[in-house]
Amino acid sequence: MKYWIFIILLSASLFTKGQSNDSLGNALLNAEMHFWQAGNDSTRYSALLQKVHIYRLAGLYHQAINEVERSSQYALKSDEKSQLKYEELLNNFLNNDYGYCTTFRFDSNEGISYSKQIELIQLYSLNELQEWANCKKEMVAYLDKTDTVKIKEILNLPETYQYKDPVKSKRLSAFLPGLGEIYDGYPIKGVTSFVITAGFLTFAGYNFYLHYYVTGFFSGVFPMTKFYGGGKRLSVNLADRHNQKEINKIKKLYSNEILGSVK
Amino acid sequence: MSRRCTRLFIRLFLLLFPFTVIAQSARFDTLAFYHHLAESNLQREQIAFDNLWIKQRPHDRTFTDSLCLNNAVLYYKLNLMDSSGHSLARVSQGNNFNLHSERLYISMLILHSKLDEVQNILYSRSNNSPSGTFFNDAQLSVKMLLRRSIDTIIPIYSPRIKEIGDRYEIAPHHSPALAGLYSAVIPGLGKLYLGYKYQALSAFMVNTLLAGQSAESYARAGPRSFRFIASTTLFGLFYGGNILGSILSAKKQRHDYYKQLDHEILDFHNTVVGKPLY
Repeated sequence: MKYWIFIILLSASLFTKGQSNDSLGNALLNAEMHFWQAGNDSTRYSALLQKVHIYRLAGLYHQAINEVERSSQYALKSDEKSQLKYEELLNNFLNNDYGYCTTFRFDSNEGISYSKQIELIQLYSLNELQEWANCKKEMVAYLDKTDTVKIKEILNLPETYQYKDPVKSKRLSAFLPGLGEIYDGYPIKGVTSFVITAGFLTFAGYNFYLHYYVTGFFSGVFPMTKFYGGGKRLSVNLADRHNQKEINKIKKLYSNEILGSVK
Repeated sequence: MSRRCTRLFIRLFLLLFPFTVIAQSARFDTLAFYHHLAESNLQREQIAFDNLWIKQRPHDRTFTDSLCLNNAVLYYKLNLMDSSGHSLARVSQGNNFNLHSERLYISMLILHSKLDEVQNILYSRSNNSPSGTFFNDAQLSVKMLLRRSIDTIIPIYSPRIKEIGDRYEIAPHHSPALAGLYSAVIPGLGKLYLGYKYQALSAFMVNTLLAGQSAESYARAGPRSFRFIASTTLFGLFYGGNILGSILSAKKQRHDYYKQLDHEILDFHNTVVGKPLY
């Protein structure tokens, strides 16, 4: 019996997966047919807006933006224009076009619906673009001036982080193997790098001392130079990794505060 | 209202109902809507619309074949290769395509690596196709993709295919055995024979230094010393690896050359289908 249940569930899941693409096309076709048969601009607008929602839910944000552009000529009321602007902004945000979201401005004749959602998207975009000073300023502007505790909390948010310069890190590693890694905040990697490079150098010196010049060069100096170069590249990568970690930490702090500030 | 009158109304309704439905459906201009979908480049909607019609008229082979081919092209443009292949497989063998559709069909088959089917089609129409047409290009494309010697007698239509055909003729034919032998005589010589100058220099340097290390160990520590055994083992590994590397490089070089040509042939058929290349 359990095998039958398993087979039925598996078939059902495969059937559903196989159908998903068709159902997207059918939903889009239905909306397009409504648009085609519509008698007035309002119905055309509704049909195209439905397509925008379908594309957005399917994760096809670029196509959703195209549909927003198509429907803009049928949006006559201020509410409709406002809704379209919101959809355009949201799909650009989901499409990782944060620059567009931060420069986005409402015209005065487009109404003020969706203002909270738009504020939220813009704050998140500023956070993603690491424009934290602006983000902080905008958050404080949206807050109630009497909420001093919250304002103080936001003003205490960091705007910068301890930046590790990859070039400086590389120079330090070039000066002394492992020093760049230690500067980046990875002391164990730094010590390991130093020990390996110094070990090969010692091995080369020992061989030269015993008059094994070819062995000293090939098994000592050659690997040492390879590890020395690799250590320099590693220090650059570690500096980048450190900076990315710090950025993510600050982004998380701001994300938590943004939801609280725009109620 | 009398009973007789009611019956009359019912009969009238039943008689007129199909006409009202037909009249409603006739109001929807299918052809105009289809043109609208094509002009607006609404590919997903076109596919759904085609599928709707395929379900409605499954026995009209000519009609369903052209819709299936259209779907295959649309899916291909959407990068949904599995769905495209599935739609292409639904096109019947003895289809009745016009010249344009047949070109499209052949290019789609080539893009889906169904080369045997293309050969069958080309073989069946070899008597009635004029020379120097797209079908000659397709024939040459299939021959090149199947790694068969290309027939220079075939008159070529497209200059691009001609250029690919010319390059096919001058494919590198370095012998892997000879490359291995050269590397065995002088490390790096095999790579030089294949045209890889820097790799040759690097292989020569490494092998010379390792050989020098072994010789030094032999001279200073003797043949039974750990130094000599370790350095000689290392040299042997590098020496053998270099020979093997030269043999594999010779094979890979030819393989890569043909792969590049395959890519360009598929690009040519991509343009026939109308998909932007990159």
